[in-house]
Amino acid sequence: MNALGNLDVRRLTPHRPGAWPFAMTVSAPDFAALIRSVAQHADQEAFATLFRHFAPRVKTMLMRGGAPAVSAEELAQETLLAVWRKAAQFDPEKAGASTWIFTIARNLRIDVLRRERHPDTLLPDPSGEPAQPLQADHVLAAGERDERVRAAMAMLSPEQAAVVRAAFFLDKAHGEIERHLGIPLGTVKSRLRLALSKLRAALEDFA
Amino acid sequence: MQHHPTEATLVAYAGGALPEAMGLVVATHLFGCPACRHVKAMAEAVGGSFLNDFPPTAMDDDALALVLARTERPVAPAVPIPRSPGLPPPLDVCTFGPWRRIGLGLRWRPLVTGGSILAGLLEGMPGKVLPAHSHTGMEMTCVIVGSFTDHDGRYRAGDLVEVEGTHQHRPTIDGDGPCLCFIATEGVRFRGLLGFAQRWIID
Ligand SMILES: [Zn+2]
Repeated sequence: MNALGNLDVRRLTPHRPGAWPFAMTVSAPDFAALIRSVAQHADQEAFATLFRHFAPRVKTMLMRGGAPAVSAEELAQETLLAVWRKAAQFDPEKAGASTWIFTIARNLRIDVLRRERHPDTLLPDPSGEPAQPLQADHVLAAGERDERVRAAMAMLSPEQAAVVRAAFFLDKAHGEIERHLGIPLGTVKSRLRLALSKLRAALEDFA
Repeated sequence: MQHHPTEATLVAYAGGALPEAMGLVVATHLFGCPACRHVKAMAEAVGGSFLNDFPPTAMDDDALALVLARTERPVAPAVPIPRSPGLPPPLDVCTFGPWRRIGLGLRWRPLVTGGSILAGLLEGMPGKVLPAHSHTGMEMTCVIVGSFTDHDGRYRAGDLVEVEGTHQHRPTIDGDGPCLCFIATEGVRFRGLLGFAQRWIID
């Protein structure tokens, strides 16, 4: 279910190897401002811009995660509908726009998998996690956050980036990470530890 | 708090790749652990950057119109879920079966789920030593109340124990009061702490 059977890590390599520490050369739309505009003015134009950027990418993410095209389409629509409905809850001090939308898509997918497998059971909605303060000495603006993470990811070697992606999307409990990357678990772990310590160092002040 | 999930586990949790019962164990730990919430937040930000970098897949022609039409419809109010006192979030909104005595002074209260998930609350009295056992699969435990010790150290409330591979241990419940843990494993072939409990439940 979690298998990214067709995950091609080379195609997932960040294509903007930006300069460190800031790679602000690309003028992407200010997604956080668009979400705010949806929250405050039910702005359909702003929403359409968000939809055109994120829905097709959520669809790709879900399909790479093994979802058939039809359910990926459906879930991508649900994700953007949730973006509209929850727009007022978006807090750029807690997460960048793409991070926030990523967690919405992830939670919806977990929810769908659960309903398929255990229709009668009651487990908590992962999106209902109680809000908790993060340990942050200072906070970054949403757009800055996304750029910082992008730049930090670009600092990883291709092998490290591949192992982070695999750890992210593959089923850890069933050995899919090792199988997919063709390296033993010990190597997976040490590469991941190295990659994460690089990311941590780069994102130290990051809540 | 001294025992935390591995980074690989936190990353998998952030990516939604962890089997859900184990996700519940991790979430229970996260509730009390700001340090791990920080790592989780970082991993989610990495997820956001993955999302941004995925190539687009064309949506249906009418997708945007359909979603905009749905935004006009009223949203059904969320039904509040009753919370059980005495359990930390998110376990307080989970459905558990009744307590059962399973021998050796242990009580077991299964999480009501289906499929291959085996998870639940295990409670033991101080001084109890569980038989030495080994693990073949992956098993995660979060201590809720009390403490226990094995050769790796002492586990107190909030601590998370992750065992996988051919790990051998012999947990002893210490402290003055009972020890309550939430344990989860995925799959049917396991011989961990829960496998031990399961023998009593099934036999
Ligand atoms: Zn922790």
